[in-house]
Amino acid sequence: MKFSYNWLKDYIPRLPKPEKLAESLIIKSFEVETIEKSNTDYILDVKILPNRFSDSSGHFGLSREIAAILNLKLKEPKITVKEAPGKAENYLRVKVDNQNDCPRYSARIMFDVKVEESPQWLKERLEVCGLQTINNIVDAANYVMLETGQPLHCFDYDKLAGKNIKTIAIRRAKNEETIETLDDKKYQLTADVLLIADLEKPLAIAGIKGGKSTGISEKTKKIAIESANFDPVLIRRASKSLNLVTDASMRFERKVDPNLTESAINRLASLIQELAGGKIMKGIVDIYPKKIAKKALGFDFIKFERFAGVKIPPFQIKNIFERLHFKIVRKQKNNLILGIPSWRLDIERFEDLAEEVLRIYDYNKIPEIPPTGILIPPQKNERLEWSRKIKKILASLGLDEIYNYSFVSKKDLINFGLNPNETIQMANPVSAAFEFLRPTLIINLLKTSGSNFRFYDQVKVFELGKVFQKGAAAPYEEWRLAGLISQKNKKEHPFLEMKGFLEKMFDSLGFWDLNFSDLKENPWFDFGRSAEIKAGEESLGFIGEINQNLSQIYTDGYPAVIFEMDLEKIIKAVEEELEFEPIPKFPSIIRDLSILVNSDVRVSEILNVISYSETKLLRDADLFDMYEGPNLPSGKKSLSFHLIFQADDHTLTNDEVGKSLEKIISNLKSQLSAEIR
Amino acid sequence: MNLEEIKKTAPIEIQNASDLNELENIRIKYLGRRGSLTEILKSLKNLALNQKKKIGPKANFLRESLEKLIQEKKQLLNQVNKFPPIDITAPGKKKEIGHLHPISKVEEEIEDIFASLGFSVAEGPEIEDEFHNFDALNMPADHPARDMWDTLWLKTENQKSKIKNQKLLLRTHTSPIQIHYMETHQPPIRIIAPGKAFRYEASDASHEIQFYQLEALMVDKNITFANFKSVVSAFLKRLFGDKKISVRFRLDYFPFVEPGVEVAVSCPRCSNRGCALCKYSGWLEIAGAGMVHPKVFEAVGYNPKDWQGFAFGFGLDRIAMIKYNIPDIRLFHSGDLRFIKQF
Repeated sequence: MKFSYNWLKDYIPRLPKPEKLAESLIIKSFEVETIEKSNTDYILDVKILPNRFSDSSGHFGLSREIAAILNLKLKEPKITVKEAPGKAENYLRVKVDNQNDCPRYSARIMFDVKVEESPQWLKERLEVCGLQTINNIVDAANYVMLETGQPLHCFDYDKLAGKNIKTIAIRRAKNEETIETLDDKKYQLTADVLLIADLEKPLAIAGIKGGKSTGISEKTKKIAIESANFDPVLIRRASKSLNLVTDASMRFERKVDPNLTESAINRLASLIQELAGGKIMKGIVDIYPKKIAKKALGFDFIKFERFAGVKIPPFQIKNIFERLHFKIVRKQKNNLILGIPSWRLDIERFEDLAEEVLRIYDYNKIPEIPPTGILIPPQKNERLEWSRKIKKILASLGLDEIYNYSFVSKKDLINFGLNPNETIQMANPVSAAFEFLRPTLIINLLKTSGSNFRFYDQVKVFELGKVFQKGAAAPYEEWRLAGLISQKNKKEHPFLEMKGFLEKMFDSLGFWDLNFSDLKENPWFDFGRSAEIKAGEESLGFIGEINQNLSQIYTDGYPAVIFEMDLEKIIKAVEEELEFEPIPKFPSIIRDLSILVNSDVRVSEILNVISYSETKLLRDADLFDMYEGPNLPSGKKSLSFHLIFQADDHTLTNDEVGKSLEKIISNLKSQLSAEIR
Repeated sequence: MNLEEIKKTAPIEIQNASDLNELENIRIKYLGRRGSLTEILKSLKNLALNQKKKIGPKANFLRESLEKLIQEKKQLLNQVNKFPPIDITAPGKKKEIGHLHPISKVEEEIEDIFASLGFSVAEGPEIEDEFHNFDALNMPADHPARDMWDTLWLKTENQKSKIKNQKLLLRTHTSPIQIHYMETHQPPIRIIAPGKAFRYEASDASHEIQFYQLEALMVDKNITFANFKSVVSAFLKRLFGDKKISVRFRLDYFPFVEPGVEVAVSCPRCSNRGCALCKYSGWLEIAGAGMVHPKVFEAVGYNPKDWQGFAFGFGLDRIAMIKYNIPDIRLFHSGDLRFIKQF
């Protein structure tokens, strides 16, 4: 919000230089975002905190705040209204439908004003504060708003319906009622919008904007001045639904002091008289049925010390409250009873008072005292600790960690054969690309490969993050771990490289029972190019090489192998597993076995035959070479295994191992037509 | 083999020896205990004197020359078998290892600092209801402060919140984690809550629709404002370096704390002198903070008379940007490996 330095100086003659002023304001009150020179003035852009509009959104209010924090003298303006004979109430009646919507409505009537251009000084002040100048009447109303924080409005009295005595009603809009505002825009209204109306037509959207029909023109002679207070929630809703934010609405939705209507309307009437002449009719038509009671709060010094952790001498606390215009109703040894200034609508409880003392005293002067208490070691967060381990293992294997957006587009979903209706959709997406919450990490992961191929031949990345799905009743989210290898070399298909990474990862986590089985039909992969990743019987996720359709769209047509797993399931598996295995007491014997089988025989089949052929003595069967190509009969492949034999209770003899091996070989021959090489 | 034959063949054999083993065999063949030249030398004593005088010097000369040849060849072979020198100034072989995301790194560092201060890590859902994201944090519907958090709302056809009639949204800050935690735990509380948050926002170099926050919460019978200052200062000085920075506290407003505080550190880049990073102010605003508002305690079912404490939260992205001199927040989600591979 823009403030004129010179204007503030009107109230505080000894105001420090702008930079100096800003320094104090920033620490104790409000951020000063910029200081800008403008002719002989400075424009201060001050970020009035949302709870402090009621006392600091006007130049006088901000000056009052500055005087308090700097302990300077404040010059309060004197307002004198010279009233003419003839009662205002004989010319205007005000009817408030609901006092909750409009707690106070004050009006004055002026006759014989002369609408003109504003004088230079007024134009300059408005300009510094970023307001356009219209004419002396409208400008005066804006000026008084900038001075007091009270939004004001002037109607052309002659344009109000009625003859001798006219009526202003404050009522809800009827559905489909419309209004044309001063800036020639038409608004369709609903019952949520409060209106200022005469007996025939809407005159203004209450607290937001004036209507065209009763606007001040060069011909205006008589005016009705409005200085009112409206329900903040109502104004906020209307401003939102009409998408219309004004200087007035901004103030009303952050609450305005109802006491302000009176002094502000007097100030405006006298200013208009000064600028445009005319007569101020006698009295204010003031509808204020439920006067706001004066607030008082106790302030306990001991409670404060317990809260702040430091003792501030009572006289200093008292001085702070006095500077802030709090009334010391009563002072006792351990507490104060404070009268809260009517403009401080933010002060409701002890903590609010404590903030006043602490900020004016200066937060930075409060000592830093470490908390004392029982030492409790922090609790372990399993999710986080395992995640850290997993990330570090994957990085050590050469994968880079990336963070992607949590959103995907409808087009992405369709490309991946996912049903948008089953995916969580945003009500107000920032754009079509961010319309849905990602149901998988894979989509955005694949996108990163294409964008990196300009600089890298191979992309190896992983992400750990949440995915979202519609649940039976409520949406649910879960942590997933996903990875990608894609490369420009079209001849290589890094499925086994990725599988190796996963095996190594689980190995490093201390988990041994990882296995891979065929994935049921999945539109992302061609037949036979994907697998389900399992820990024992529990499915953790999948791994596969995406099909050509997807790779054309997402990876420039280059092969890409992806995996995705449920993080919680990984953690569950590895947590249970980690257990020490005794170091074997007796030596092992290793035999190498090379066999030739048909190309379509799978490694897992061979391993199955080997392991059930010898269940007792065989510790491990480890494939160390697989070959297919020239030098071999076509349709055949050669595989070589290290077979490791070991017994728990004795040293194996060559004879025992020989018999085992025979069993294995004979089963391989009979069941897989293997040839021994 | 007579002397003449040895003289003819031995040097050639020595010459042709391809390794030390072969050379040794040749030596044994001629000069070993039963070597042919040794035999000749041994037989000298049985010869007549004139014969002895005739053959003796020749045989001895031959032995000496063969020994010399073998020695020379040995040196030669030794030379060849040695490993050549290494150009130790050549660059080491490139081994590719992966890189963690800079926010992961910053998050871990910060979590470790808080762990050393006794803070546990709590987490919460990214999809929230209005109650946890706003109401419980003293921002009822139509509270103007809700404008400080531009919200991404969910379309909730047949998806409902656990609490009745609540709209669903993507959490706009990590503060709702505090609420979940306090709903299920009794003080004393000492937690941090890191996580992703979302805002409806036009993105630019310093604004993103998703970002990372970390929030600290400490509640007990007698946690004071002075305690708050001590913990936040200790943390920031550990993070940025004790000697390098000072910490500044100023008034700010957040509905869920009172008093409200903004915490800034003196710019570590320019040491408070003013630079592009701190927009020539000398200060970097880091955290929003304050003493937990009594209404927040009420919302989670605590009696505000019994408890007091503080909360503060800050952006992990911002910390990473300051620490690593990253100019644009959008880089974090760019997936650009030229960026990631630097960390």
